[in-house]
Amino acid sequence: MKPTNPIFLSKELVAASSRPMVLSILAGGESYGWEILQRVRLLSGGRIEWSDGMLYPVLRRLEQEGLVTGEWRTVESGRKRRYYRLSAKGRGQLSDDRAGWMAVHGALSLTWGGGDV
Amino acid sequence: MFDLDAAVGAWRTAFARDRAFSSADLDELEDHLRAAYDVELHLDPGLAPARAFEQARSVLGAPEELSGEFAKVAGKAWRWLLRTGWATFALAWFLPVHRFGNTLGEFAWKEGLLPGVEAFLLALTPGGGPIPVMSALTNLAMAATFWRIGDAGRQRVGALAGLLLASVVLNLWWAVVWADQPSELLAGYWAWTGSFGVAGVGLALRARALPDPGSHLQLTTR
Repeated sequence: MKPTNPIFLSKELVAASSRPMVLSILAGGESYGWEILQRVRLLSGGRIEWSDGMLYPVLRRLEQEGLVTGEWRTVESGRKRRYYRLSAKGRGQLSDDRAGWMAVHGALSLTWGGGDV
Repeated sequence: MFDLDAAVGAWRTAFARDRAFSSADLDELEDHLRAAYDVELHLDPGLAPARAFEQARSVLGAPEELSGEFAKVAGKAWRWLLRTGWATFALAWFLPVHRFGNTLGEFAWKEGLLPGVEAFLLALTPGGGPIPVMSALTNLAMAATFWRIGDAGRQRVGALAGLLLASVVLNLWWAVVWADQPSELLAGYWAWTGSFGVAGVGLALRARALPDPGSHLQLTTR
């Protein structure tokens, strides 16, 4: 899906949001790189556009931290594909991330809702 | 006539020049590239295949754009463990292994101590039995990890990991022999035995991240 209105996200915001975003998607079931990116685009209505290749270092890091587990499989086309699944540790991290982001979101919403920006 | 496999091969060669990308990384990126190519053609059936490939490649990113991020996470854990194993292994050859025994003579650090080098030669001495010889030969398993392990496939890496971890068990035989006098075994022995475990765990982690060429599990694609 082509993004209709991509918005600029700073490197810092992309980096900070990548973990909860990927963990949230995997909380819905196992998935693989390309599909995860499509989910990000779909969920954001195409407004959040990640660099495709940059997703994989994120997945590597999550795997190294034990937050997700990866498994190679061969799909119908004969291609190898690495599927990722949320680990128990990842589920706990997602819960923490969610609480943190909701706190930030709540504070910012109150601030912006007051017309200060 | 556009040859997708040739185009993917050329794309892969360009990425493989950068050491930041492992073969597992390239397999995963290739899967993404092919999926993106399929979608480009699906969205615009009239698009020339070469153009669809170019767009898919562009969306994925160039090696120089991705290299930095991949290098940051490129198997830090397994490389660190393997290098630690190698360093400990090398050091063990010059550390005292056993309190009483032969020494390296004038090269010995201290009278009455048995350095790793001489312990190795002693284990290979005829008449010592098969286990000491097998224990000494486990050094070959460690030596095999020195040869282009970064490019090795899952089977070779997994086999070496298993061999190293089995070596730990075998080399602990010496500790069993000296179980009644554990203080007789010195730092060199424990460093040597432990180095197999550390390097073995490193390679096991590496093997887990590599694609399994023997997998026949079929899944429905998206």
